[in-house]
Amino acid sequence: MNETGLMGGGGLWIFGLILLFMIFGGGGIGGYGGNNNAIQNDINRGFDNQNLQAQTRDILTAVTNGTAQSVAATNQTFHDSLMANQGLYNELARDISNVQLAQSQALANQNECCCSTKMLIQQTAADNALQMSQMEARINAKMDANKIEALQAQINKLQLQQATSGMLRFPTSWSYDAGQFPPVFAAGV
Amino acid sequence: MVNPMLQFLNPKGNNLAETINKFTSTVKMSKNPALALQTLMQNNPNIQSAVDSAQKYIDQCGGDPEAAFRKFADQNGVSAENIIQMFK
Repeated sequence: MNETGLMGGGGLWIFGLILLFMIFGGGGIGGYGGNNNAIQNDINRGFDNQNLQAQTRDILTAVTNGTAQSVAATNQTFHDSLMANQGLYNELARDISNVQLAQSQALANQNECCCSTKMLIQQTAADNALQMSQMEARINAKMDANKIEALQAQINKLQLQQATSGMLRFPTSWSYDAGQFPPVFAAGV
Repeated sequence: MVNPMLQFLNPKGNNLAETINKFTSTVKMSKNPALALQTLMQNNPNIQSAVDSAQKYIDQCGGDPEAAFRKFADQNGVSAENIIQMFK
């Protein structure tokens, strides 16, 4: 058999002819032989059926591949969405953590500030109490001093009255027609 | 006598249909037709007689494979285009 250019230069026809001889046997030349009684239309329909089956297989393969690709794309999309959601969740978790940290820090600052405020209030109260006490002491001291001064003045006055008791008093100023001087004292005066 | 049509439609347990299916599949998938034919003949000894018959028929038709193929198909009432489609 000449195999030169089997497919390109007539090889297809040779294969076709071989196929026909496989089926019909070539009139006793060889092969299977004895199929000449076959119904030719049935044979053609057999070829058509096989072509349809091949096309159906191709379509099924294409659909299967398409379905597989669709499923893969869906899975990929789901995976991408899941990863994106996971990323967003992680980012949100970090944000929440940062907010909690900031909140904790703010609370700590607030507590510290509150503590400082309380201490300042206590210190102020203590200062006020001390100042009030000192002021009272000064007021009391001042009042005592004033009281002593008043008593001392009263004592001085009384002492002066006592010292000048029975002494002749001269007027410290003159007025018109005050009478003669020295005045005439009445008896017992 | 086994109807070839039934052989095509019911390839299970049918050596002829299986052989034809292997034949067409091997030819379609092969990148080396000579090797494909050699492999087919090794795996299917019955093909050898068909190959010899085909070669003799081609020689009788002046060595033109296409003319021999179309002539034999026409003589047996088979659409040549159907067979060509099988190999595509």
